[in-house]
Amino acid sequence: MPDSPSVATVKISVFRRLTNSCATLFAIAAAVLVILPLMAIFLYLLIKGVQSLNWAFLTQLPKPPGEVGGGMANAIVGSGIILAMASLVGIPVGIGCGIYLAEYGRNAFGDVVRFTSDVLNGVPSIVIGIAVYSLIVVRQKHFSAFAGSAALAIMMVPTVARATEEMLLMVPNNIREAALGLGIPKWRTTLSISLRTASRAWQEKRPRCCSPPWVISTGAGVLISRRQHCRCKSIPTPCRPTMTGTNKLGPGR
Amino acid sequence: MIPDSEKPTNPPASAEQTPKPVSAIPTLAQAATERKAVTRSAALERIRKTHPRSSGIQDTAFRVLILFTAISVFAIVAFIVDQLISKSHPTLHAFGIRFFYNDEWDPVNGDFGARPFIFGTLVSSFLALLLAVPLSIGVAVYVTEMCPTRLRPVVSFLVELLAAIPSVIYGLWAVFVLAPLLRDYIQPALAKTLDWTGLFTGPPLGIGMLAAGIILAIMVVPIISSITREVLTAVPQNQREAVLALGATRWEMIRMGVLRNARIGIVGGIILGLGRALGETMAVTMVIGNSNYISKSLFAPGNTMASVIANEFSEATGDLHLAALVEIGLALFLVTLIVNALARLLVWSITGPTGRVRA
Repeated sequence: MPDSPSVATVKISVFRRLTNSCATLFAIAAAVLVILPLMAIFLYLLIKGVQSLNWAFLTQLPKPPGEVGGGMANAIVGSGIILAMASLVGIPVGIGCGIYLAEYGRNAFGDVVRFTSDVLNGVPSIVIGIAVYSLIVVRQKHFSAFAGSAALAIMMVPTVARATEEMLLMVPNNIREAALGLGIPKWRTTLSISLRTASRAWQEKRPRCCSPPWVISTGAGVLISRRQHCRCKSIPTPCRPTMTGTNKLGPGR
Repeated sequence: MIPDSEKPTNPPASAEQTPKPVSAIPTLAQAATERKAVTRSAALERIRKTHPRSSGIQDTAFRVLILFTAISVFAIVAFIVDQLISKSHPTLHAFGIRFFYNDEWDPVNGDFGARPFIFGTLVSSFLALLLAVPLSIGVAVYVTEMCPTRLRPVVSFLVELLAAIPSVIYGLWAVFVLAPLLRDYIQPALAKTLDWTGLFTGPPLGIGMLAAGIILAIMVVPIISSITREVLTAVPQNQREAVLALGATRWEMIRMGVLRNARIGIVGGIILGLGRALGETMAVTMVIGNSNYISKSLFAPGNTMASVIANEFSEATGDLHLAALVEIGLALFLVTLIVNALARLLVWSITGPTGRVRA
């Protein structure tokens, strides 16, 4: 646009032109600076990680300190168990909440739910960890995978809910109307038509700014299931369950 | 639902109709009269056949179920608040408001004050915002206004990929790559040039408040920039064209036509980033150095509210120690709640509640 002839013929003062180039340079520099750490982290993990990644690492239990070899099978299994248990509760509740927001929640109460789940999304995982700790760990008197997955389930609900809502909102209304017009009850329409269409649309064209529900923060899980002797130890360091098959943002969240 | 009283007395007309020959396509007028001929009760009967009686009950049941899952969000918040308050009761009682300005953190003598941690949280988050805000706005402006169309999805995807990295991995990278880099090159340079500010004194350790601020900044950038990008895209195209038509350069167009219109949403995104920075746990815990003292120098180790909980929670020595940590958690919860609520309201005022803007 600025290069178009009509603009070029207007005399622009040196100062204005300089500011313009500076701003452009700054924006480009910012983009490079932001992407740089990403590349650095990937390269670092690749270079340092690949050499110690072998079959034994994935399938063996850790050896006592000082001995060579061993793996982190317990941590992988622990993560799997915690993630599975959390998904069992967190995903259905989250999807239900998302359905409410998209299909019934076009009103003031829906806005309140939306607001609360957004705010809940921002609550640090460590705080959720403390709450679950005092409810489950204190009563059971020991750390457990169950406590870890309870915390994870709580963290999943708002994320899954907002993602589901977003997915459902991408489904055109005529599809719903067509289904209802065929005499299909609303619940069936929502579950078998809207949700299914949404999940397909989701796979094809995922909105860029939201995370898959599987990207979960580590804080709470580490806090609650941190114990050397615990059979199911969540992975305190590198690999926390990030579903790379579908990978994308989180936020991330 | 059809009330029982409306049970039709005559059999459904449709069932007795013989199929018409295909060639006899009815005119519009014929179709209209035929439609009239079907009595109301017969139509209802037809609906009833294809639409089982129980579907109304099913729909209501489904609605109630869904409503319950929606209410669970409130239940979760209530549950968290309830647990935090009941567990922090001992320190709430013993220290009261003094807890928040007491400098001492002495589990051995049972004297607890959260000021070093509140200070650490504020300083590290502020530092993170200071670094992240210009960068994120720069990236967002680049992506929406300057980037070649083909590069646009690539750049925004890469930036958002940053948010997908687990925070422990940031921590790991910061400990092994960023901290040595800071210790060997950046901190000595800062100490030489900016010594007079008093912010860059002491031995260059690598880990410390500065490292925590930098790693937080990297983690916060994708949040701020993705929201800024959404808000910038929401600015109507006419605004840009109008400013350009007045002879503005591209930068002037961005400043006057775009950024000025989007400022409320950008502020919302910044506050959302602040909310994340305040509560970030693992990465910060790994690089901040974990010392319970307040120091003016950014090179010095410190501690944040989240990191002290992560460090001491599973080794808390007594009920009072545990209660003190829970009370810090309660304070952190309330602060992030307020910060997030504020940010959401600001962002919503631009995009509306169902806007695609998410953190």
